[in-house]
Amino acid sequence: MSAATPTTRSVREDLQVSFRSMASEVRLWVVRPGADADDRLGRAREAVERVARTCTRFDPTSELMRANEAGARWTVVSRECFDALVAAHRAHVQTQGRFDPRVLRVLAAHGYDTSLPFGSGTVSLPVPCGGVTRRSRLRHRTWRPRFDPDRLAVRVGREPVDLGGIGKGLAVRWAARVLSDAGDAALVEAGGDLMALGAGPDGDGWSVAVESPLGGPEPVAVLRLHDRACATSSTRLRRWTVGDAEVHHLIDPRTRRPAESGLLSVTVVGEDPAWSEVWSKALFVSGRGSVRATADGFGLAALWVDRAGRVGTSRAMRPYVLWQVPRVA
Amino acid sequence: MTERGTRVRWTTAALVAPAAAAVFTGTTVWAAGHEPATAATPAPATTPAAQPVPAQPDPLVASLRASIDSNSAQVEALRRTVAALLAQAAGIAKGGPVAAAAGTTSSSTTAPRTSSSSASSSATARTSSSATRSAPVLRPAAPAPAPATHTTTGASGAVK
Repeated sequence: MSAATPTTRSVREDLQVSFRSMASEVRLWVVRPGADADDRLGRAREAVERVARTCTRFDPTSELMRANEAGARWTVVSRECFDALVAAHRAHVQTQGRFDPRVLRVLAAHGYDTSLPFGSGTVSLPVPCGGVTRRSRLRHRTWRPRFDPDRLAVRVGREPVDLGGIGKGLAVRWAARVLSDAGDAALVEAGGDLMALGAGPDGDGWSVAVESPLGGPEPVAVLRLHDRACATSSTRLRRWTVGDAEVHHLIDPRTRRPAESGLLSVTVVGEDPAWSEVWSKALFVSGRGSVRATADGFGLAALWVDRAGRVGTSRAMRPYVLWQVPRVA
Repeated sequence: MTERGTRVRWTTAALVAPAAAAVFTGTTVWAAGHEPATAATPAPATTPAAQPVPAQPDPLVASLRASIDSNSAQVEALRRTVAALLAQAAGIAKGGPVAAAAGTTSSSTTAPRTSSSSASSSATARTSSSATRSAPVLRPAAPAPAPATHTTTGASGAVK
């Protein structure tokens, strides 16, 4: 009885890695890691960086930009870029066009064709030559890319695409797969998108604060997640001025302009980070008037903050809400 | 013969009818003035017999009355709690500061769940009546602080 009971695995300190990628801070966290956790962390980081390399729109030599350049011609890409474009097309179809990655020209027309220093003060750009109000002719036209899975070849079409949001969600998805057995629990997060695996450090789930879109340290809600993904679309940070007009990066596919939806942020909880990211954006552009009906109609767990500061939740979100304020000031 | 018989029948009827009426009236008046016999026949079910007032209060009745008083007080306390919660919900819907009823918790806790003595029931009744006179007072309550979190979801590109 007095002899110490041998343990099959020594309890190690949690492992955490943070790095910058996809213009965001990425964090990988393994709780009570297993023997191969270090190796898995390295592979998870590589998975994130591969997505960033192949799917970035800020590098003209990336695979995505080569496919955009080819337009209606076939282009062979890597597995990551191919899967990302397939996922983007599926999201476009399943959200009935609310999610549309063909926003690259719109963003470029607003001066967002290069990585802007958001978070370091107000970003002001001059009005580009073409102006920012010109609307594209592709409104209401469904995106029909072509895919050849045998050759990993794609034809994205004449309108270039941006995989910024869904690419980040996919990077989190693929990194989370690598870390799924790395320890008792794990967290992968990248710029507002995250995957919470297992029961968290304390055994009762991961507590996730939903930041206020108006800024400040106080969150608008705290969610408790267990094997769930979460993503937020918000205009708090990626907004800038073009001439006198204030714009942001969430483009409404119907108007081809920064969404004037009456919302400041939308957070979605789901099983997959890429789909949570897609739906957070789709609900954002749906607008204040229909966000609740859309979320409830699709059975989405969503939380949003409107321009008046009111905080709303869909029916499916309520089980995840641990704490919430009625409105933000 | 026929004419004579008719006359006899009419005469008999004229004598018997008043006599029968007199007998009926007499017996009715007599019956009204006398107590009915109780022992021989069972009381009909619909007879609302007056309950004799016992000299000592029945303990069962006293217990039931105490229970009624207690439950009435509890209902009153719950009614005030509901009113306070409705006011609080209205405040939340308007987005104003969260308000809590000052007496909600204390009323709920002081309202007895069960009654076992008349003393407690009378005390409860006093509480109830005084609470009925004064409307529930709303005072702003400090919102609970956010619980500790492991991470944050928010705008893309945020530096944590």
